[in-house]
Amino acid sequence: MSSKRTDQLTWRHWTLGIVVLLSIAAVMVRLYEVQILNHDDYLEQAAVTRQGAATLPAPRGAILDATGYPLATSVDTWDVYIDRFLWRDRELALRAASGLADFLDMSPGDLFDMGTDEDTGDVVVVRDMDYGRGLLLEQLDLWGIRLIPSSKRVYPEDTLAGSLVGYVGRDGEGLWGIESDFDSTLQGHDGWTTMERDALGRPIAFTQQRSKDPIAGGEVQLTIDRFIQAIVEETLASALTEYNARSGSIIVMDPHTGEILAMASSPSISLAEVDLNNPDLATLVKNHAVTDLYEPGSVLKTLTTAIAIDMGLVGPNSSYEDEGAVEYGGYTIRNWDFSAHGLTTVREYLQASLNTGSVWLADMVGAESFYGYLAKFGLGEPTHVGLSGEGEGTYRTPADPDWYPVDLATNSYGQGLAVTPLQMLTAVNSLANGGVLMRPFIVSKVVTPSDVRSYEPVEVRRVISEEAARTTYDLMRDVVEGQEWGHGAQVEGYQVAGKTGTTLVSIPTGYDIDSTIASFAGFIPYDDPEISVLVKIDQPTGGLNLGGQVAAPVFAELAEKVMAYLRVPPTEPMVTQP
Amino acid sequence: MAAIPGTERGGRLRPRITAGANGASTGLGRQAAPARPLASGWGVARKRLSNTTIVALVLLTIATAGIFQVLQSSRVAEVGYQLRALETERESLDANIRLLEARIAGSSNLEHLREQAEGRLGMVQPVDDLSITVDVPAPAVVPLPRRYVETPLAEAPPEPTWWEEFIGSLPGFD
Repeated sequence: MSSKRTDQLTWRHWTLGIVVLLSIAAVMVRLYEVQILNHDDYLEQAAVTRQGAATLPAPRGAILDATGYPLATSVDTWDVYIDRFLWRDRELALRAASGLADFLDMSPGDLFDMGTDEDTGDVVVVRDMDYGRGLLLEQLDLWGIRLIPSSKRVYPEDTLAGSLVGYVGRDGEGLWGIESDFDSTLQGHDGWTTMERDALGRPIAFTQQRSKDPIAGGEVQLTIDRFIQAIVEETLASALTEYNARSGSIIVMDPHTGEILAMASSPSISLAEVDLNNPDLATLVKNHAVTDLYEPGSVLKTLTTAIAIDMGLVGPNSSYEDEGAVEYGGYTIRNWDFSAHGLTTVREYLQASLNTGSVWLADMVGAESFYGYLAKFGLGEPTHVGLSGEGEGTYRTPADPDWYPVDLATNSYGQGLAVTPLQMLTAVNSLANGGVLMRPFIVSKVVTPSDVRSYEPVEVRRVISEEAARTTYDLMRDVVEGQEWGHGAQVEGYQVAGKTGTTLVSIPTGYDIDSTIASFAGFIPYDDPEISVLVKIDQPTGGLNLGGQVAAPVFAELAEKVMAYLRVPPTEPMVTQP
Repeated sequence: MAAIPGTERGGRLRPRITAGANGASTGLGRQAAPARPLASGWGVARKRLSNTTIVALVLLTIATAGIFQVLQSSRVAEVGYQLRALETERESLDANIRLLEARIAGSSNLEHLREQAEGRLGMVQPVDDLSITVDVPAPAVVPLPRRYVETPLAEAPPEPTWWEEFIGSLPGFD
């Protein structure tokens, strides 16, 4: 029989117990340290680890033409980055670099060097990767490769209206044109979201989450019709080549409402190939039809005539004696063709574009009234069309210390004062719409997520009476249709009203007698004009350099095509079937 | 000497269970207590369940509740992932829509149209636009293609009467 007691603890029991107790105590101390003493630190670290933030990019709004076609729109893309912090694990980085290189058809060595030259920060590998391709790359789940949503601006009609539509820079801001002028509307506002993520980085639903939805950019719809714009640009390019001209501008408007249907200048920029380092970029992106000043020449005689008729001083058949030249303010003013026409009516003076006739009218009107009317026609001030860089135009008045009486004479036939092509056409439009100055506008609608703003025609002011406008407009019809030898602006099947202009190019010392600006302003069809057009060709050097020889035929070519596009039937029979 | 059955250390006697007349247990051969009806409800369960069982049941209930909670959280997380997947899919669809719109616009590009018209379809720019005036009076009634003219619905034939049906059913009269 054993005498040993089995219920007594041995030193081994005590040792084991002490070890266990010490271990438990150590754990308890550590728990106390982690959960009590350093609770806030670890809580913060955990929050940082599991909290994720993301920017929700707002899509940039589109620029539409009058038919709703997108002249500028945005598509989703990806920017591919390497996370250098994660690529500190060189083995994983090598594998990722190899996979990425296969995908991008790049050198894995270059990618590896790119991602390991520093230990922190992101480095961009590819910008604006196609959306679908980016999704495929995302599925590869390569270590340390991040795809950030981005967007790319696309210009479907990239050869059309480059200076008008504009361009967006890398930072997403408009650089010129509508992209710049309406940048705040088009840009929208990025949103953001913060959320808790799991170990794989996926957002966990129904946890603490804050977000702000992105506000998409608004859409801007223009009054520009891309078909008419294409006709205008093609015609202008052809004219510059045919007449070997330096540059030119053409504007097409609705004379009743002020809508700008097309606006082109050349040379201009093509959105298909924008080189922001081009030293001529500033010139190419300018909308010369709105910014550049020029002396309008004989086109302004229509306004001089309208002023005299509105003041009741003359009628279409009022006459004066044309001796080919007139002395005014100590200077001799001659007709452009150095001819004398004898007894000449107002109609005939306008048809022959006699400088002496406009001097006669301006003298009757008087300086104060003349310049007062010019201001009412909108000359000397911006049209407020809404495009940046618009020129104001300039002319001297008797209030200016360097105004001389001869200025009244020269201004009356469009020399010695400066206007923009848009100002000139806007003023002449009032002769076709009953005497009202309409504000030109190029944006018809702006649609944002919160509202829709439509822009209606704006009557700035009545300039002359309806009767005076009609009378002057009829005289303009006689200028084109009443010439027994025909007129370059005539369009078969339609009646046209218009006026040519030819001015010498002004230089610091006076005028360059070998350089002209040939222009024509006209309306078609005469009965109820659908469009008004201003053609301005700068410095044609192909032998022909007058408005009637250069600008008027350009008008005719363009107007015929636009009438066909707008399906305006001819008002004159062309072929009669018996 | 064998231990007396029922005895423990310290000589404390445990009552020996004997069966009484009605089968009820008695102790130490004492006379059986009069039979009493069995109690019902919790009292019975409580009397029948031991503390261990109760503890086990409570732990099981807690565990079950915990499992349900875990299942619920898991389900919520799963739904959350599905939601996120749907949102991602929607974003992807929106992006594809924008891409398609841009492609459609590109296909309607005037230069592209010209290339297709001239290159593929062999069309040419018109040389002249010719408008012809037809000097005859317009017809009083402009004939329209038949498909644009509403044809009145034909009237349905009247329903035959009962005797017409009867006669019609006779041989020779159909």
